[in-house]
Amino acid sequence: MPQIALDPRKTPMMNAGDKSLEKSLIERCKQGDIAAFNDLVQRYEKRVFNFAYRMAGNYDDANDVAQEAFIRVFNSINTFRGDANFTTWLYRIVTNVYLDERKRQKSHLHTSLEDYVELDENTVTRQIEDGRPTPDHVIERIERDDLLHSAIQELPDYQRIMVVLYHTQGKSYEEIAQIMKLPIGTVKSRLNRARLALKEKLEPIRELFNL
Amino acid sequence: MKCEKAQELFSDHLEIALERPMVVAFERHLAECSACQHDYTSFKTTWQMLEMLPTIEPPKGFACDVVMEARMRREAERRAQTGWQRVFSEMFTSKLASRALATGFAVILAFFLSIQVIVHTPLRGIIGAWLVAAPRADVGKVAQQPGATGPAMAWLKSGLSFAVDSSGPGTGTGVFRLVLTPKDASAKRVRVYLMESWSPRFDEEGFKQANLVFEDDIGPNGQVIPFVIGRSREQQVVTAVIEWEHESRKFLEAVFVPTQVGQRSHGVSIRDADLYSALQEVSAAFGTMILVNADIKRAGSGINVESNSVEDAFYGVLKDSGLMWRPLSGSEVYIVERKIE
Repeated sequence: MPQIALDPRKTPMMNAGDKSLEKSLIERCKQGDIAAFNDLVQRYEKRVFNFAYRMAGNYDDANDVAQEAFIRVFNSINTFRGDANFTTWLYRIVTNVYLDERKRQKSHLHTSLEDYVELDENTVTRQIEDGRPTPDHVIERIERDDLLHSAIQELPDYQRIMVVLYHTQGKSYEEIAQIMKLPIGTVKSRLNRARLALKEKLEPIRELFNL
Repeated sequence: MKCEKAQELFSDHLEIALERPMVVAFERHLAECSACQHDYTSFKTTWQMLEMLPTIEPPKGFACDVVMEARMRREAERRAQTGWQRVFSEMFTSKLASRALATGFAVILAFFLSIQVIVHTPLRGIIGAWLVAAPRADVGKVAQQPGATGPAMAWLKSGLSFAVDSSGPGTGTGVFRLVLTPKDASAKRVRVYLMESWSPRFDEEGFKQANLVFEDDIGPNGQVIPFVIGRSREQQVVTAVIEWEHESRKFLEAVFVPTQVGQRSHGVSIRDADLYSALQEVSAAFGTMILVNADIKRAGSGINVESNSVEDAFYGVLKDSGLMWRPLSGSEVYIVERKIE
């Protein structure tokens, strides 16, 4: 069987000038320079917003998460020592903001993280009801991307974070391991399981889209 | 190889991360197991779909909203602190040593000055002098808006009052608030665009390239629209364009906002410019905000001006245009309007 490597990670490499500009913006932020903070936000807003959107599942919540994450960056920029990449630190903050928000919602809702339980080696989502649309419904009103997006939302938090970081943010296994403070082997195996879970969720619609 | 093991290897196989013997074993299993073969194909398709997910655009003005929210929260925190808490929180930062030294010096200086004051001047006179010197808002409108502080100017134009506030904490960092308030009870549909290019165009093409930062109905309570201009940018002036309707007529007003209000260069040299480009140059050179109707049909061209005074520059730019300028007292704001015949 011929092997075709899918997508070697494509995190854009920063050149020396970019790196130096980023460092200078961070230093100016530490001095309370609001214009530098504005530039820093503009530099990363698209990546952070997209990450938040795929995590939170909708535009409004993504806006809240992304905004709160940047404000947390501003308030704690003095604790960033530069040992890690700034983006690794930034993604960790976004992840934490998102998880905090989920916890806050959990205190208001009864159906939340408890719905995701570890049964054995494989993490299985315990569905309260099968909310997947019927095939007719699919043809009428939902596009493939929306279905995939919905399927991602059904993953447990930690799987979703990894899938989004890897597949929509272009992060490597090493970077995800740093962001989530996990061994790289754990990241790889959990991502494989997450993809398998997604595959299962997408099975009913695959034929409809001739995939 | 069992099916379970084969599934564990799906990602590694797709990424060509398996050792040769494992590849052979995996592919042999797939050749024999139609279920795994199907799963592997589906797995690969899922992967490809994930890579093709579209990118989502953040809302317009997202960065600006974040910056203003961060700044307002910090100000709120500062206000919540008592005077002594604030002094201590500012002292005990990473620059502790230098700040402690400066504070010590300030305390000693204040001690000697206070002795001078007590000996030579009645205390009441000192307080009075400080009050006279303190900056005052020329128009109260902006100061009433939540979060807006310090001096600001407001103008009334065709049913809409608007002001630009660039003061308060963060002055000089390029943070501005545009404050819009309808002059009657009816809500007004307003759009605000930011243009960052030199020679802005206020036509359809210009608006296409502009950044639409606000579009909504504004009620009697008004609306604060924050925007931020990065100092590091080469561009020294950002043009805010406000579009609204009043009595079934559409109005367009432009505000040239320099990144450094009040910071004057040696002068201005304008060559073969149209009216708006020339005003933009004046705004940049003299650190002045300029308000002008953005719907002037004969905006002129071939304007040449060389001057090191803002008054002369305005005279040179406007002399043949049928327009006049006037400064708003106590501010760095100039209004350009039609001459009264």
